[in-house]
This record gives sequence, C-alpha cells and structure tokens, in this order.
Amino acid sequence: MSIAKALQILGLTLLISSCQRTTIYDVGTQTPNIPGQKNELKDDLQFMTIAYRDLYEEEIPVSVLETMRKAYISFGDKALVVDEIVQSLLLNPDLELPTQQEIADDPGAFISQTYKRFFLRDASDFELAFWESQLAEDESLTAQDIYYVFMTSSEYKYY
Amino acid sequence: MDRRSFLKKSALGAAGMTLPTILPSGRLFAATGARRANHVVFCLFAGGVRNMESILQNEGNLMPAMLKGNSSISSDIAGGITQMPGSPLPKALQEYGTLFTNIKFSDGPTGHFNGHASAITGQHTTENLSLRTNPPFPTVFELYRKHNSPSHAAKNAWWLSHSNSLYPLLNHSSHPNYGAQYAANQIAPNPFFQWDVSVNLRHELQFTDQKSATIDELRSYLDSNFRKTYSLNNGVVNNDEDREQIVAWLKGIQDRVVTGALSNPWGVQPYMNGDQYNLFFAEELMKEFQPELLVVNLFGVDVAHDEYTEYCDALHRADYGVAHLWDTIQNTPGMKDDTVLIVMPEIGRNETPNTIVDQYGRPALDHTNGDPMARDVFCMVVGPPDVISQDSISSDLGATVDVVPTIANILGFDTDMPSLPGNVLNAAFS
Repeated sequence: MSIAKALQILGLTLLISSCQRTTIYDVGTQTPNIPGQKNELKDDLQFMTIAYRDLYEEEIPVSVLETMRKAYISFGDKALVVDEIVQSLLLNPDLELPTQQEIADDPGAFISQTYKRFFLRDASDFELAFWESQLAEDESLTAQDIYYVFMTSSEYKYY
Repeated sequence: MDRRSFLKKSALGAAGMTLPTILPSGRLFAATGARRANHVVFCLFAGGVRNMESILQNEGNLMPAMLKGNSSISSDIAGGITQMPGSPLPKALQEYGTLFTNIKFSDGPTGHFNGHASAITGQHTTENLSLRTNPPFPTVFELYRKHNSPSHAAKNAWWLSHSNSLYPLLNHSSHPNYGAQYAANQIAPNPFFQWDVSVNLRHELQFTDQKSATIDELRSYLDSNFRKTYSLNNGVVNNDEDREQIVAWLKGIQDRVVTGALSNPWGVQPYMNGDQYNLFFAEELMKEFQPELLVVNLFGVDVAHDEYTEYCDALHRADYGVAHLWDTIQNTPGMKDDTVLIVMPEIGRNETPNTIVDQYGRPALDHTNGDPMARDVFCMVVGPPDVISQDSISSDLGATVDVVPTIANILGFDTDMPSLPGNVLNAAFS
C-alpha cells in the first residue's frame, strides 16, 4: 500500500471517529467505499486476459488472446475496440449466464456475485439497494446487460 | 452583487465577447486560409523505391498506369512480373498532375520508420527517433485537426497503415501541445480484417434505444462511484455519433470478409497482395467517410532486400493499385474533382546491391545511410486542373519534408500552424 493511500485511509478513519456532522458530510462526499484500492490501470493484455477469466473462469487460450491483441493494436480508437472485445466475449454461445429467473429469484445474490466477479469486492449496502431497485424496475435487464455495464465501467479498467 | 451572481454574469459576458460570427455561407467560422481543395489523399508509396526502377524506367516501364512511356520490361525479369488488369484510367496518372523528379530524403537515417515519420511530421529525424513511442513532433493529422477552423473531428482524418507494427504510432505525436486529442483515426486493415478477427470480434450486442440509454445510465452510476483524476489513454477519441458510423462500417466490412465477398475484389490474378488490399480498404473508407485527410502506405517493395525481381513486381502491383485509388476518388461523390492525391516513396534504395541474387540472376538492394541513391525519390501530385498543373514535370530540388506544408497549403491551415523545415511544392499548382 502506498504511503499516500495509507494516509488517506488514516484520514478517513480519523474523520469518522470524530463524529461531527460536518465531518461526516465530508466523508459522504468521498467516493463510497471504493474499495478495492484500485490504482493501477490494466494494460491491454491484462484487460483482455482478465476479462476472459472473469467470464469463463479459465485462462484465455493463446489463440483467442492473439486474435484480440491483433484487433487491439490494429485500431486507433482503443475504447471502441475494447468495447468490441467485451461484446464478443459476452456473445459467445459457450458463455453460461444467469437466467432471468435466477436473477429474479435472488437479485441480491446476483448483484453480490457480479461485484465480486468483476470488481473483486463486496457491494456496499447502497450499491446493493441501487441495483436491486434497478432490476425490480426494469425486468428486461439481463445478466448480459449487467455484465456489459460492469465490464465497460471505469472501475473495471483498474486493478 | 454576491460572488455567485458575479461569476454568472462574468461568464455570460465572456461568452458574449467570444460569440462566433455566423458567415453568410452558413459556416460558423472563417477558415484560417483559403483552401485549394477539400480533400487530400497522401499515398506513401513506401518500402523504399529507387528512381531507377520507377521514374527513370531502367527496367522498362514497370509503372504504366502512373507513368507515361511504353518501354518493355527487361526480358530477363519479365517472367517475374505479374500481369495486372488494364489501368482503369484513360491516361497515365502523371498526366493528371505534376511529377517532381528531384526530391530528397535529405536528412536522417534512411530507415522506413524514419522515412515515414519525416513524411508525416514534415520534420527531419535522427537515429534517436524511438521505435516504441509516438514521434516527438506533431503529425500532419494533428496539425490539420488543431489548426483548421472550424476544427474537424477525428472521422475526417485517417491513417491506414500497412502493418500493425510500429506504424500505428504515427497517428499522433507525444508533443505536449498536440497528442491524442488531435489524432487521426488509425487502422491497419490487413490484420484487422483478417478472418479470425472478423468472425470472432464483432459489435453485435443489440440494444434498443431505450436499453442503450439505460445501460449508459447504469454505467454512469458505476463511474460516479469510481472517480480517477487521470484519464485513460484510449488513443484517438471519436464522438458517439461518429463512433456509431465507424462501428457500422467495420461491421459491414467484416460481414463481407466472413462471406468471402472480399476475396480478390479487384480480380487480380492470381492474387491481390497486401499493398493492393490496403488500397482497397482505403477506397472503402473513402466511400463511407469522404475524409478530408487520408494517409495510406504501401510496403510490398521492401522485398527488395532479398528478391530484386519481386521488388519490381511489387512496384508494378503498387502502380496498378494507385491508379485504382485515383479512379475510385473520381467516382466517389464528395471527393470527385475536389481531391489532391500525393504519391511519394518515403526513402529510396542503394545504388550498390547486396550479395543476395534472385532466380533471375539479379542482386538485391538495401537502403543504407551512406548510399546517396537511398535518399533520392520522386513525388507525384495530381488533382483537378484548376488546382494542379496538368501533365507537368518539375526537376526543382525538393524534400520529403515538403509534403506536410504542401498538404497544409492545400487544406488551408498553413497560416496558423508553426513553421516547418520544408517548403510548399508550389510548382504543382495551376
């Protein structure tokens, strides 16, 4: 852990323990619990390797990685090509995704597992509540949709 | 007046002072300089081409689609030269413009990357040029995007590189005043549209507009919980609308790859080489985007290090490809009669051959710093008669670094950009 990060955490702890309203408000403006202490940007190969492993729970085959890498280094708009890679991974018929019924049966479990799967952390209570309400409001949201959102988020680009 | 009110009024005042003038033409801003044409295609006829085999026609006219002359190809290598389809042009390409016969790669190592970097930045390079990072000087793409008024989106500037090694770096520089925000869109279509990529990597998640909006909102929620103070290096950035158009274009090409529709689209027997495919993809790109600035490179002739006759064959294939490119420009609405095409090798090749002899008994050619012939190239500038002097030859001394200022002059952004070591090739203009 970097010194700066340690000081940040120490600062937060002191702020919380001081129990003054203004201080609590300040804590609330910090990005919630984010957690994971993710400060390092995944490089191109890491992103592709990790994305594959997160979805398929196995190491990426060399041939698949080579195809992805070829596309990545051949196109200048990296965000566009990363999006293409993520979409392709999610569309692979070999990928087993939770069904709508499984999500509906236990949305909290689905969200918790999704946070662990892609962000390697627990969802906060606020986050759980947010996502559960979203799933309740929009029953058309699929696991593929939610995974796509997570895999194209900023947090997923870091480790 | 409280502080908030003051700030608000100040902002309004400032906005009022900087409101742009709407010109009678409907354009928001006046262009920085008068344009000669609205499109430039720069074909780096690269890989190292000697004047001897090209414009001097020492082996006969290996480039009959581009150059005037009907001298036969040397009989000892003629068997190694592939018959191309007839030129799509009614006359040689040089008759549509001006051929500069005395252009020098005047400074820097005579390597391909140095040659490319010099041609694309308009700056001389040294042996210190890194092969791992973007060049230190702004590229023509950045100059175009930064100094045009109004500025143009990345969709208007494209760099089509023959390979995905090294050359993609040339879509923008590491210069602190320029960089990725002014970059060109870059694609190496030959590897990108290979079958494995086209089959397996595709934008095919289908979202309704409503679902797409929901997904954007959900991602915004996640991102709002994870703020970083530094930005991702995503390379060139396209706005959402342009990105959608680019994705649709990519998908369209991929579909044609998968169905086999792009197997030898020009009908060159027995096959199209990589240069010809790169030019084919440049044509497809032009039809879709009508870019104002497109740079495309060739590389097949570099086989000359080992096979002289194959080098001549690659030159012959490139010749057909460039003529095909010009024909497509003249059949592309929006670019027809409003495009200047510049064709120039990045470096030449040695006068003294190496020791590798091909099956036709011809020795191979390298390109080394000490051989003056490796610095001699030609440059052809063709375009509409009211812009470009037709069927003209100039033996004026010029340099490969002259191309960037010439492009800037044609597209009218030369008055605003920093000065460059090269000169505008004025002899090309009517």
